[in-house]
Amino acid sequence: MKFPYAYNFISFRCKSLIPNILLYLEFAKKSFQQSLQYRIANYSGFAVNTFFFVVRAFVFMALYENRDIVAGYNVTEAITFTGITQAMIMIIGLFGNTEIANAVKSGEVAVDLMKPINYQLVMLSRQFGRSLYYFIFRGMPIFLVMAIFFSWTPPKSWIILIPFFFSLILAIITTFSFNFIVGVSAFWLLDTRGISNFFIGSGLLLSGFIVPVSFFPSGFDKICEWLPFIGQSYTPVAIYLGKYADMTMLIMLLRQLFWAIILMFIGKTFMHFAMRKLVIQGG
Amino acid sequence: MFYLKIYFNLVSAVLRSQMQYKASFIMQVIGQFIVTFTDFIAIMFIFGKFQDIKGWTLWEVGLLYGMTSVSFAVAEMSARGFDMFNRMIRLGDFDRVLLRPIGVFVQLMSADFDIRKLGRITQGLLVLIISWNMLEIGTNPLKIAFLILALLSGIIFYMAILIAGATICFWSIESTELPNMFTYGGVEATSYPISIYRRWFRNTLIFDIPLAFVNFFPALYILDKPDPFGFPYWIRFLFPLASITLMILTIRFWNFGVNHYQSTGS
Repeated sequence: MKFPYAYNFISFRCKSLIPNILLYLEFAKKSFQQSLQYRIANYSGFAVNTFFFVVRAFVFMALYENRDIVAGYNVTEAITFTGITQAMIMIIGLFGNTEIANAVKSGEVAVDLMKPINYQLVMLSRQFGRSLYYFIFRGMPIFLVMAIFFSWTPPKSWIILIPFFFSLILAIITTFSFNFIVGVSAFWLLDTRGISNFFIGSGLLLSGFIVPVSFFPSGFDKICEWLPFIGQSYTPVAIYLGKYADMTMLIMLLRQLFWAIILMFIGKTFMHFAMRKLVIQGG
Repeated sequence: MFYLKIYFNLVSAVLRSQMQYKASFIMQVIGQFIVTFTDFIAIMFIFGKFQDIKGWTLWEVGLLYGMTSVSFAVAEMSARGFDMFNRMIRLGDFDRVLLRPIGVFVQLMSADFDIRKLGRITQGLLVLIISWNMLEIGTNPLKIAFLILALLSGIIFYMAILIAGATICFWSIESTELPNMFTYGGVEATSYPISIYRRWFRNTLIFDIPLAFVNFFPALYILDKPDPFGFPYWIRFLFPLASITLMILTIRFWNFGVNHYQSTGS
């Protein structure tokens, strides 16, 4: 069974944009509510993320002993960097998402594709639902632990939070796009764990998640600023810490936006080819 | 002997099944290698900007990192059955295990053998060997034997943690990532000398979850470093005792759990 309908849905979507936004909001809401179910899992995840934050903060505190500023960061900024990145892990979904790959493996994806909706946007809406959940129930608590028990850097002005949140949303879309491409590759690969690990690994390092990009060897940091990975986590944190002057910040945001669009487009193209290939046996 | 034979038979069956999808298998090994390699590259970047961490150089930290990674990766590879245990309980598959005429423990040890972790092991070994060379420790057979023993103790130690984590599933079937705090978190924490931590955190790693015994103290011996806390010299040799004691306690806890098992009934 093939799915020629999928292309018609796109025009369907354009004709009635407003009801569709409501529809996608509904998907986001559903995934938010779904996340609420796993309360104990969230407590333990919070404990693990916080543990990692504490270890990394201690490492930076030891490294900064007898040192003032290294690579443009002082010790409280390094701690704040660690706190925000740990708080962001689940918000942006840095450890990948097996939802799509599992749906392909089990064949469930066929049912989703039959619905008159854009599969990629549905998945993105679901991600936003999860992101909101993790922002409230995972990110904020970790941030509070940092603020209460460690010396940290508050934002220099509250206005900076506007570009920060804008950048955070782009980070969610960028990481989602990577996860989406990995998920859709299940149509060809069947088992996506290998390629998923590859993207998680590069995501952790090249995105400046483990250490700030300015700690990278000179030259390499410049290359990384052009790669899409930096938009996954470093750009929002650097904006929060005021590491970019106004013009640079604008450029970094535009780069992030550029990569988010490109990656979404690649995901869409992948999906397009997957639909051609998709054959559902039995039923 | 009988159990050993069964163990090898079952494990080889698991391995054959994992090798069925060759491309996927190779990609997973490489994926594991890369995802863990980024860890150490990050440490190298840090040491590019900072020269030392409380007097420990990059390659001294590399030794700690390599020891703890290899130990954990081997433990995770061979005790994978315990890692997947909550699913077994939830689906009621554990009832079947109890019905078979072989020990529960052997069955779980051989339930899964995650050969993909070879990527992680290779990476850890690589860091360990490079660090060993950079530190010019040489081929002192005593130190090599000491290292191998320390690694074995580390493997037993991490296995005990994995088994203890699985045992909790007898009481709570909701899968949680809490054991990750002690495994992945333990690896992260012991990748650095424990002397960098605040007192309460350091004491946790020495007295509560005594990971320092299989990692930090043996490393002090290999590196001929003075003990920063003034512990007696023989504490560096306590690691086999620490890991075996922990393993015995864990097995007792496990048996206690098995005896209190109530099926989910599905």
